[in-house]
Amino acid sequence: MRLHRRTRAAALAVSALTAASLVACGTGSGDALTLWMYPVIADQAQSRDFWHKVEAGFEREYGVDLDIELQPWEGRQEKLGAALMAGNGPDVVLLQSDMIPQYVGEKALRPVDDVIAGSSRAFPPAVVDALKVSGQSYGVPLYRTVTTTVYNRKLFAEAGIPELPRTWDEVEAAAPKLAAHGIPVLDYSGSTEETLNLTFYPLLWQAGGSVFTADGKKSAFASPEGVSALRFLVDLKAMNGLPKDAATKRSGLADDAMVTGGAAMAHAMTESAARNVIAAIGAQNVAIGLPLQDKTRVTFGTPGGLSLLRGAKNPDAARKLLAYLAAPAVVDELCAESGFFPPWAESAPPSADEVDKDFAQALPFTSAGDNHPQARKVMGLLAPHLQAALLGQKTPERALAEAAGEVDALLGSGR
Amino acid sequence: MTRLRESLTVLVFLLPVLVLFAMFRFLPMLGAVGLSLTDYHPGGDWRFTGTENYRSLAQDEIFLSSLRTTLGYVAVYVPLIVVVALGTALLLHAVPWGRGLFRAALFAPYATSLVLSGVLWRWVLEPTGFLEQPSMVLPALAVVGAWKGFGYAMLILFAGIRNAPADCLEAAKVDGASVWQRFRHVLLPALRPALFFVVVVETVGAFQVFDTVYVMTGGGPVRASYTLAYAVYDYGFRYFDIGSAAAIGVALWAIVLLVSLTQRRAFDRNP
Amino acid sequence: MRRAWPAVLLSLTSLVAIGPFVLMLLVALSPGNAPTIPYRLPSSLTLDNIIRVLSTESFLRWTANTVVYSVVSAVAVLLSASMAAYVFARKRFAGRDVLLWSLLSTMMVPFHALLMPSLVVIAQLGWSDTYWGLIIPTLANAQAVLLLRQFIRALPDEVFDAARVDGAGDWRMYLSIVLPLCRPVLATLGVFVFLWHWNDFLWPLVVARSDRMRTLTVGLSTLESGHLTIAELMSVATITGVPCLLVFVVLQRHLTSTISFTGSGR
Repeated sequence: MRLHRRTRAAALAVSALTAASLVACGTGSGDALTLWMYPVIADQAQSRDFWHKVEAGFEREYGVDLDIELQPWEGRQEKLGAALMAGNGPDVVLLQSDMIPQYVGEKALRPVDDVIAGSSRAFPPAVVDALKVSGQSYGVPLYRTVTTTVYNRKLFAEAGIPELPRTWDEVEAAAPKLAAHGIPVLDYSGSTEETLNLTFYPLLWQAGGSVFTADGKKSAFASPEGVSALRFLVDLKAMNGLPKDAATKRSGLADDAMVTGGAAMAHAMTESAARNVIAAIGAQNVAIGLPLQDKTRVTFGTPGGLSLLRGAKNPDAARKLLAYLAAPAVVDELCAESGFFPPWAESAPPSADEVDKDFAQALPFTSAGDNHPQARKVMGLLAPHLQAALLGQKTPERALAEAAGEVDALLGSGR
Repeated sequence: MTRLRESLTVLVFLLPVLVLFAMFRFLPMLGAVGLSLTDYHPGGDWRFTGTENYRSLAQDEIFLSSLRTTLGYVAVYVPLIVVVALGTALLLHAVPWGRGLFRAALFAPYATSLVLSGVLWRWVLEPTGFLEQPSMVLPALAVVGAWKGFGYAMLILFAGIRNAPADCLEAAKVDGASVWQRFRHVLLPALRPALFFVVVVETVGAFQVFDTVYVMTGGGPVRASYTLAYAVYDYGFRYFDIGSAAAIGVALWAIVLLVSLTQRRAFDRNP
Repeated sequence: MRRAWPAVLLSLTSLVAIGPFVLMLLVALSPGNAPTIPYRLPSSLTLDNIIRVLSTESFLRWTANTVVYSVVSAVAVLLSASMAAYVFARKRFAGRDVLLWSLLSTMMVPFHALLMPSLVVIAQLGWSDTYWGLIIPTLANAQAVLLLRQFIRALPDEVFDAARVDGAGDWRMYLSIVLPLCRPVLATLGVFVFLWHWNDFLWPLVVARSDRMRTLTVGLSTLESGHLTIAELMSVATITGVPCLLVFVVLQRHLTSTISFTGSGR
């Protein structure tokens, strides 16, 4: 019967396909060294060209096959975590200083002190320390980022404020005048998806406080300094000095408050976000200043570093790769193309552009923050309490005290 | 002989599904259960910890509140989406022309980027302040979720309405039955299989709501929208507490299974 | 007047539904850096942003991967699920309902919990970074089985009895009765399975190691370096969104075929 033959043929095809599929092997890169890199260089075409060049240069010099895979920022924790479990992660990967302690805590990295020691140029201690955990280096510095204060000059002028505020007191003084025009003075994104390094922590540090105690065993943010930082925000909110949805807002390209004119200044903006603002409202309306000052002047800046994974199949070749990538030739060009700052002791701004110069002035004030294996979990525990304070559900003292209770319980349980 | 042939036929028809599910659903599920019994560090060591993860979850206020939050979300979302989907399906059926056009328009949210929807809805909801109020954020998210997802349920129900016996409806109309009576006694029974599907699938989906929360509120404010599926992501991929994340996943699975089986019984009982 | 109100209601609902999509298109076509909210209509429309995204180096490759991923998955799911659904709907055998609910229960685990173990299974099979690894695991679609089973159950027994009298075996009944009669549901399901795969991000991200295996969603996300403008972001969204809508519009006619069991349908 016609149907029978057709179906029989189909069944054969299906089973053959199934059999073939179970035998089919993946076309993996096999023995090549793998590096996972992220879009540090903004322009995709430029990024590809640069890393192809690096790949070719390394292969020429060492004769080892290298695969540089460019990954998206989005979903990188999921991808790296899943790859580590499946056993097909890279040998070397780019990690930020606030991620390294977590991976070290997961015993996923190997120390790289030897690579840093063998580098031809000196790294400033602050940069190297930011990538250290328990006295051992786990990241070879590749670049530094810095954040600082960005102002919308026009809004301040229109509100009749002649001088841009540089201290907390000046910000608080400017708030009512701007609020009278319906403009919040300070942009603040309080969503729990935001890293506190760019929102609350810089203010905490400016007040002279810190997240952890020196030995990292207990929290230290429920201190008078912490309360003062949170109170600064809460008071501003009461004066309409923060965006209306500050407690739950995310910082995003699409509705960035400074781009839409929804805030007059931001206290810890990255350079790329600043450029976005300039492109939107015009360079003449934007001023880039030093980080704000309360008790001290400090802001967040993280070195990006290359880490060696414990599961690396060829650690010796990987170390050679690290040394090659950390060499001035590669790093300087990377920084020139990406607009980030080089990690060297004597750091000149990568390009002569005004924005770079302004950001470079904030470099001496950067801190990579309180690194700790549980730093991310602590942020996850602290952020909702900060939201509660901003929403007026709790006083700053109570919010921080309750958060400290949860954090100390976590740190004490030794997980 | 026929019994054997019958069994063989059943097996052959089921084979692709059985193989696929065995290898790519049940096996990973076993893996997840296994993970939930360990303290796993990706790329590192792991040790067997038995039910420790479950025990600490039972005392974890964050987990318990995420359970309550998820139940709250489901309670708002499922009725909402069923009503909207059924309503639009009925309207589509009642409209004499332009069905294709309307259908395409109603389908558009499915094809709109989630990130953009998030931004837009945040803007729409800003004057109401719902996204900042712990009591209103779940209904707000349910509205956004229903807006984004009702196209699917609507099309299923529409196909179900089309399957309703037209002659019965005609006869009822001739007999003078009102719109409501026609709906209740002819359409609704005919829709039962489709409705069952929509209710079960949307419930299962609602229990696992993640995307809308991730894009719009990040679990806030003050964890008011911190659902169970979001907790799995948070614990598993932000803190790398994979054992606990797997345990939450298993717990969620058990809860949803219980709810779905209850729904099935409810549908079977109703005439 | 009574005739008009469904159309009016539907029009209002449609506006709410399609508004954001239209906005997405407008922003993508705007020059420069128009902020999204509040939105001002641009003075001119330009295809520049979209063209820039389209001329990304691997764009064609990513699109090809996504088309393969979505189309093959849709067809394979429809075939495998309808076969299983036929048996669940029309046959009785020991453990039938338990098996069905076991399959359904696999939808009840959150995806993030299964992500890592699934990748381990793929890696063990040697399927990392291949089409097999990308497609095959996603074919286990319990919803499809349930949906088809519901609709096949709703088909009247007379049709099957008549076929059996004519001497049709199960394959014949499946091919000549079930599949044609379920066309609207199959079409609906097919469109949505296609859609889910087209917009899928996390799974393709985790399976694809090299750039040549990436799908559109993952590939386009590599463009996001924090330097993208809104218009470019929305171009990316448009490029992923418009094909979905097109596929739907094109396949619409299959969704509407009337199946009437009085025999007077088409």
